[in-house]
Amino acid sequence: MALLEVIDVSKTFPGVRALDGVSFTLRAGEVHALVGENGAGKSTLIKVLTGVHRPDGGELRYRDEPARLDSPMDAQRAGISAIHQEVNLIPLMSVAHNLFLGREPRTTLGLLDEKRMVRDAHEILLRYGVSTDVRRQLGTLALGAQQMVALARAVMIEARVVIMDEPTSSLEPREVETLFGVIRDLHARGIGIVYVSHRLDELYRICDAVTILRDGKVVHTGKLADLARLKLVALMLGRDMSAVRREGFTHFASTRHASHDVGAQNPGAQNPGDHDASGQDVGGQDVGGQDVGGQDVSGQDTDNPVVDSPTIGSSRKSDRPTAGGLRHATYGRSIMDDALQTGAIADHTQPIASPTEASQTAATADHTQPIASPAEANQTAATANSTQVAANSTQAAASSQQIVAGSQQAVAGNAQVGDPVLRVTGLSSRRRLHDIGFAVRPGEVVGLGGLLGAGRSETIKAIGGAYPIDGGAIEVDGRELKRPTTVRAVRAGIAVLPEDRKVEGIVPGLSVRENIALAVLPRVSRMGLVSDRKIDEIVDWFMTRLRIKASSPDQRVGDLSGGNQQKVLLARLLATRPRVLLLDEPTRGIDVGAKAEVQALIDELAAEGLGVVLVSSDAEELIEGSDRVVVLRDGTVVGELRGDDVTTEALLETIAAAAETATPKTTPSPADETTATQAAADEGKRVGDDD
Amino acid sequence: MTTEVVAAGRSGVDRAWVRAWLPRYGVYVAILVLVAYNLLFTPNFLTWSNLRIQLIQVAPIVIVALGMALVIGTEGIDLSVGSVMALAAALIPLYLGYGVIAAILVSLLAGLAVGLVNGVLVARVGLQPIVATLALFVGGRGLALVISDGQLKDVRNENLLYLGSGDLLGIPVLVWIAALLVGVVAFVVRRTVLGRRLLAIGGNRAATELAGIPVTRVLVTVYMVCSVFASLAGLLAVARIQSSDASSVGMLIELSAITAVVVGGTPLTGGTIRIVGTVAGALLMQLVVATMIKHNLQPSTTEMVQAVIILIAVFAARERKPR
Repeated sequence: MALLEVIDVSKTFPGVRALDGVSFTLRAGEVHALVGENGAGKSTLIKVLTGVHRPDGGELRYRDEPARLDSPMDAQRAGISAIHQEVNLIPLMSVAHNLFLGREPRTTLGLLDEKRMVRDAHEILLRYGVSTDVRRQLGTLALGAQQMVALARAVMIEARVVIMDEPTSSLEPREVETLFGVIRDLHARGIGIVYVSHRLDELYRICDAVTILRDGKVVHTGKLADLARLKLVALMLGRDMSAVRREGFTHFASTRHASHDVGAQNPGAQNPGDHDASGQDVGGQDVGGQDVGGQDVSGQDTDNPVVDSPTIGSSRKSDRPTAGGLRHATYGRSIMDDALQTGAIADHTQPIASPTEASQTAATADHTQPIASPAEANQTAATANSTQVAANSTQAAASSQQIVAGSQQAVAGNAQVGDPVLRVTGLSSRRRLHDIGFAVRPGEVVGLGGLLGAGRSETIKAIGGAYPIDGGAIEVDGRELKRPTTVRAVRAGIAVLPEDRKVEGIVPGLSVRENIALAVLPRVSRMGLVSDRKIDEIVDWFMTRLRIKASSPDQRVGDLSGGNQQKVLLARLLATRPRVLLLDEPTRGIDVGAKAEVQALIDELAAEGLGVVLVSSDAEELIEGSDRVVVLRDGTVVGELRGDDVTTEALLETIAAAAETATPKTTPSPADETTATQAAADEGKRVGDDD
Repeated sequence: MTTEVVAAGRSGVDRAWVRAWLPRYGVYVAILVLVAYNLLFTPNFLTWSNLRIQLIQVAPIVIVALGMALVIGTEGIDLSVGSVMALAAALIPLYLGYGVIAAILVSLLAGLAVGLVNGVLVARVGLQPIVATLALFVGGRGLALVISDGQLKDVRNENLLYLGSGDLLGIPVLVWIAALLVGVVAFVVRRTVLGRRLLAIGGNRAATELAGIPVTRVLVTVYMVCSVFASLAGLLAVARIQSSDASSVGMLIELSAITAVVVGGTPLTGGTIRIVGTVAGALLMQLVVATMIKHNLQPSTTEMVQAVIILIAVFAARERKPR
């Protein structure tokens, strides 16, 4: 019998179709898993079920009758209660008061029956494994115990439906067991439970049915036992298994996959077996990565960088062993060193020509030619040097017209050579990250894969100094970043594009100009006085280069479209001339066109010698954008895909396999432990070949 | 009241335009209206002696409000400014024996120290600015009373008194100092790294932190500047009234300063600072009080009018909520 039914419900927010014809049935005594990635519509559906949102269309049926839930109060009265990730109780009131809030027992005189309340509360909570003085303030309890109080309260309201939104995220293993005990009890009493979690092992332990949402639509619903883990993950990440075999969904395709092709022509370039041996040997000989680092530093301190950069470039050229490395040297400069060159423009006061003109003249390798823009200036200089090396002159000239064209080869060469620009070892943070390690070479895009809550964002933030760590080492260009703070990380050349653009990224009230210049103020100022001229040079250059669409540099960033906000943020990061870019969901919430542009840009930047770490919930984007993918689960590295293994199938398999076999850190159970050894062996095989 | 008139007159034309326009320029219109009214109805308004008194009275408020504007720009608030003034005032007579310079330096240093404590509490410990500065709002004046033994002390150092009552080119030194600081602060906000950074912090602290800006250092600096300005206002107050009274100097000035900032169009939510507006805000409140007094209205009426003006300013500046 259907207890709660949602039929063809839709909900639209400005610009987003959060729910699109969703149908969902919860039977009495059923534990129903609701899964989906961020933005799939889970929380909107929960809010519809609990009366927070009213659906635009569709029908809600509760106990076989049409229902209208206009407010959370309505829902509660009807017997639908929800417990959320964060406890929604009053921390300063006593446990007992919280439990009985709004339904306090009264004496015959109408006064609070404190005695009975305390006695009852104590009794009720014992059933939930909470034995504490219920007169204590709720806030003094551990988070897990608070969650139990919330659960007890939710069930007490004669609930027939209990919705649990990631209830285990703040629980200890023992508390999780208690919770599961309670869930089984509720199940036996015929209460319907909607269970939202990203922990697959939990879902398979206690859920009967599952509904998978993606992009506001139901992509699957049915018995959980009939659904293989791999299939579940595939559905969740939106990859139909047959579609996995097709390729070319994102705009990485044009460049990243081209680089794979080049790799194929050049045996060893993309072959994972060869990678360790040849890749590292070349790295040993070639100190290219560090050279570029040195070059950057010198560039920052130099007043006359255009003259300097070719000199440095040419001096290094002679000891460059490979053509790929050479191109790296050439292209390692164009976007990142903008400011350095913009500074030079004014100094040189050279006539200004159009970009195309400049790139044409570049081939003639004459340094006194008119200079078009910072990039072109640089390319002119770089090309001038390239022509000295006869073999490369034509390619170099060609690529100076179009950076992307050169990047394909550059990536093929660079992803393999050079010491890691970023090396992370043993990164740990209490309860969230455990011994995470990986390395990124110049020109390489390393994806971080995994489900929500796997620790991807935490890893990125920890590297950027914005998340506390207990242990581990972060090295940029071989130099260790000690006691990372955001200030030190930026100085070391780490740039983080945060996951939540609005909360942690833009300063909405400030102009495009101020937002871009924010991180580089010291460089564009003297004695604390800001030079607007220097800022304008940087800002103009980036607005053109990244095609930022704003009415003027003075427009408020808050008024721009999501895609343009993202580009402004990228400009801010690039202005700091980073060595490593850490991108957390760089294309989330931006329109298709801007998405393509950002994806293409990531490729370009990698081609220019940056190390890139990419986090994306979009499996296609992750696979097609990355050279390698490090897979995380519960804050641990559980696998790594490289070379030909970088496929959506392999990614899904690794995620699912990890969930299936590894002993969950939070919920150890006998069933899981039997396979733990195998998992460990598996892990050992996949991890540990970072270098 | 005056701003209301403006709002009513314009709202027929374009609501959105008024919304953007009113918080920014309303204060200037209000001043113009008030001046016009006084020219017509207040005898002896446009005399040099009257203007001079108004300017001398408003100068300390302007100085304190400048520091307050910086703090508010970072989405903070500093309640301790009045106590800092008292502290500075209490220290002056103690160190005057070592010379004017020494006394001034000591009182400014006291301000610096208070600002350091405020800044550390806000930026490092992570207290809410209103709570952090409340500590020194209470404790600062207490300390000042202890230092001064709770007694009013006369100050007769000629050099110090020159700061309070002397003239330079026919304009009071006090006004020169305030004007100079207005220029300096406006310059800092517009042209310096510090200015840009503090606005960014006010606009989005999390983002600024992630961008690698030394947020703690900027915040501590801002709170120190605010407190130093307050201690300067404190010692100028001593110089003007020729005595040091820790129990009355700077009483309730934090409210006047916040009012000046808010009425001047600086939102309490941070990210924007209007320096000229702040000065205008202080002048407007001063003019309102002066006008009321000249027309023999009760002080209580004056206070109620002030309250209305503050309400209008906050109402005009409030964020539009999406519904």
